[in-house]
Amino acid sequence: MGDMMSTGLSGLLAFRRALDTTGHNIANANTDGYSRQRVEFGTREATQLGSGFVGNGVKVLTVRRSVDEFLTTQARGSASGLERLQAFASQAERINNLFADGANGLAASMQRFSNAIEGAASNPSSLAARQVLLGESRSLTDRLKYYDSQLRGFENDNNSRLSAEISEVGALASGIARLNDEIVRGTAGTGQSPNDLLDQRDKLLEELSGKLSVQVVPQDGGAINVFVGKGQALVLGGTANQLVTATDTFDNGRPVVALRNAQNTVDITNSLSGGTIGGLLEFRSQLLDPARAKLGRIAVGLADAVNTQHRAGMDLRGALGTDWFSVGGAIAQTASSNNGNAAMTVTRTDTNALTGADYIFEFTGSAYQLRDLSNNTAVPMTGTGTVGDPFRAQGLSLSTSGTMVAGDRFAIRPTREAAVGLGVLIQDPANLAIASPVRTGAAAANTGSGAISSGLVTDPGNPQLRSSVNIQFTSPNTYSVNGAGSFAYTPGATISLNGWQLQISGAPATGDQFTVRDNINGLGDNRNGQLMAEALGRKTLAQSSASVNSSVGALVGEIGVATNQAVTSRDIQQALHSENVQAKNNISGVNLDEEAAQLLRYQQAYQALTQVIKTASAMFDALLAAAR
Amino acid sequence: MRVSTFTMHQAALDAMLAQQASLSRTQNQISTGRRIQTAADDPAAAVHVLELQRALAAAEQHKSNAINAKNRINLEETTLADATNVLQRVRELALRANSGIVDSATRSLLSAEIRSRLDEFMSMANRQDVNGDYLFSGYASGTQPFARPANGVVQYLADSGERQQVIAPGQKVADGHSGDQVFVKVPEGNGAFVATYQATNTGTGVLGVGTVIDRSIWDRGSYSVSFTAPGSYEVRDSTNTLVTSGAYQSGAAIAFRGISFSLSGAPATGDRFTVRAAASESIFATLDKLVSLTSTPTANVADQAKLNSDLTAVLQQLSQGIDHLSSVRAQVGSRLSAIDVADEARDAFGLENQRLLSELQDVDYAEAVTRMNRQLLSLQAAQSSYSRLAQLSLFNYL
Repeated sequence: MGDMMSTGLSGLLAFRRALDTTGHNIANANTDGYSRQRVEFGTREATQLGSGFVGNGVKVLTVRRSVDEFLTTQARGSASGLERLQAFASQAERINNLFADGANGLAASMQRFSNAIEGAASNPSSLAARQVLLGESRSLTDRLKYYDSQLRGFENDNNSRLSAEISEVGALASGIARLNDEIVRGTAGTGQSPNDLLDQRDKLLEELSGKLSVQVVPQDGGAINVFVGKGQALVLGGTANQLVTATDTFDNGRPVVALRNAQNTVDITNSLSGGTIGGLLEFRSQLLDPARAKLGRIAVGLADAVNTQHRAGMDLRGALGTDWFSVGGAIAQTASSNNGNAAMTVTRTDTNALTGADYIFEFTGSAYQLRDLSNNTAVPMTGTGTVGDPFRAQGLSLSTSGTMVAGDRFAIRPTREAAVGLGVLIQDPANLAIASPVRTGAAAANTGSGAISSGLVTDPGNPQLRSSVNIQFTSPNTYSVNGAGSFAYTPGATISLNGWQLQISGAPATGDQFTVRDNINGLGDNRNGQLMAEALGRKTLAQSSASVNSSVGALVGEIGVATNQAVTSRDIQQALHSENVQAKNNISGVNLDEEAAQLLRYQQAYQALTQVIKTASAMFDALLAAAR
Repeated sequence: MRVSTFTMHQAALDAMLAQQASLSRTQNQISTGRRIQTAADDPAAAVHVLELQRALAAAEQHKSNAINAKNRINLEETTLADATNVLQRVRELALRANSGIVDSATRSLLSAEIRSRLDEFMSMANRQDVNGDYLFSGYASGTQPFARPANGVVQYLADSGERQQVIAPGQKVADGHSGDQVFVKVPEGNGAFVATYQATNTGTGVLGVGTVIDRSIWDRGSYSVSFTAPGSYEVRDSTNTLVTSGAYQSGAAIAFRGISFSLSGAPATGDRFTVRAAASESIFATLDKLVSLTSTPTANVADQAKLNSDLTAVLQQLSQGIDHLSSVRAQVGSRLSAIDVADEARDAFGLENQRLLSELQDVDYAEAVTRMNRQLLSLQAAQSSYSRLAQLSLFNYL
């Protein structure tokens, strides 16, 4: 009867634990990261009698949490991917929304400017039309600068988010290290696993994976090591290294990610992937930097196309046109790690050859290398790098002064700051050069059928540009220029002189004269205005594949495609991650109906065991009564 | 398969949130009428939309250019019509002055009217448009094209520029003619050669109208027709080589080297007439000549013969002027019709672009509303099934 009593008691104790655990499960049904726990029962050691083994009841072997390590790792991986895409897509959507403004957007602004040129060209002597044109040119530069400043604003936001995420990683790593210690201590004493601590650590690991991709390596004794990037240790047992914000070697306003351990601090930006941090870094290097560079290239293309043509024109006062737009220059950033004293000068020489990429210029010790950052390939250069014979590549001219030491580097950003320096240099609408400085004419006394074209200025810098030139036909096939020389006449052939070009066609008679004159009174001339409008539509950018006008649409399209891809991948990853989390929860999550059933089952068992004790007690009472 | 309670709630919630997000997108599309809200919605279409919007905006500008051009060309056309009327009137006056019954006194009366017509003509050539730009001064729109300086000869002071207006992508049309083209470069004589008399002639030979018989033989050279006797003449070229000679008959044509002109009256021995290739003559010069011819009295028959020769030449020159103005007007007309054609093409193109634009970026309401109903239905279904599912719990029965 004592055995029966103790058997019953063992059951009571065991099911008490089971009911406790079920209660714990129900209580934590909504706790994030909680894994349901199960009590595992075992029979107590039997008593050996002559008649055989008599059981002694039940005991609790362990309380086990239901986890599947494989599913946990998988969910962690997909969380990392999701957070990366989430960060990228949400930032990309901001740029995309910025450029989505159709009526007041960049493309509309560009078109209004182009129309205003044509409007002024349609009525060149009208100061009102010129005023409109000057106003539109200002609003176009304002627009370009606004977009650039918005992009810089996004970069600042992106950078501060990056810094915040980096500091959160520190807290998470310390938490994991502390839990490691506690888990090792808990396991060491009892051999039992501290389930709730393990859940907490798994949860921190999942949060950490949301920040950046990690590799988790379990150690003996229950601890884990966490590595980031290319095997750099973030957590080693009970010690956590700090992830910190450092500044870019080329640009001290640009945060990068570094890992600080006891010995040193290492920049690990380029080896990081995944998570919010990976997404933010990726957004910065793959969408934001190129967008700014390409916006800058539009600014350069605009200024170059308009300025070049504007200089070939003549304003209302009869003076040659001057530069209409100012634009920011190409910049070279010196690496803070450079050991030499070399300084770099970079200038843009050919707008059409600019690719919109940024570059790293490096001295290997034996050779100078230029590397395109957009695809990480070497770019061939010509020239020797001196001021007289600079390196030339992709529309850039690069020269160094001072001494470069092996490993010294410069970041070359051809158009990044171009929009910042954009401005309108013309103040007076009368200074807009809509006319052409030369005009042509045929003498009234001409008897032949020769006709002269209106002429085109090719070199406004020619000092003789506006000098009078007389072309006189000395025979139907030859002509003299200003009374000198004899040149063969081919109808329609281009005649170039003094920085202009023209054609004479038809059959001029001997003695016929054609003249080129200064167009000083040509207030109603609009040839240069039309050439400026045409220059905006000519394919003068990106290796003659885009015009200034169309490159705006191309930029908007590129951003749209990148955003569209990011959003689509995010949605796919979201579905994948949900599936992974669901699979994990199907194993580890609490089902309240199940717990209710367990509660009933254990309660019934508990009640049954009280009957066992009651029976033992009744038997004992009967025995005592019999003996009385 | 077991499903955790948390997952069940979370999954239902996620599904409802997703439904709400797509509903809000559809709602946004319906309320704005735009299928594409940002470039990311459909990058290829968004770029196409930008291109179409650009083409439409450019077409607007071309339309306004075309209106500017049309205004100027219409003004030019009116001016040219006025100028032609003046020339026709002057020609009538010149015809009257050339008739044998008009004496010097009547001629000077005619001269007065011609002079006032000349001033009228001058003001037409110097006409300005609404912006104060001269119609006929080429590029130098601020320079008065015609003026009579101290030496008395009307001069063209502007240039031969011809301003072009862009009226369609790649299509330009000139919005005017320069003054020298319209009023100065008028073909001289009959357009091929000019016959004149020598001032020292003493006979009464009167030059008639010349014509080109064979353009392939006419060598644009200079020739002189001299009378060796009242009844015979010889033609020599510029090197004094005899070309031809013949017997003179009043009113009959003298022909050589592919040209022919008539001479009437009685030229005296030693009288000389010269022939040279035609260049051009300004209408003002012709009118000036007419004024001076009609205001100078004739003293004798030789003077009268010269006057008749001159008036014949002037009459021919006036006809040339009227023809020239007509041909300029024909060009003006063809420019106007080019603008009209471009306008029509632009309108048609604009409509097509609008249609494409609408197809690309506008929402298809029937489709969107259907989609919205479908989304609403499934959201309602999700909500009602969730609320019923959430009530189910074994604990209710404990």
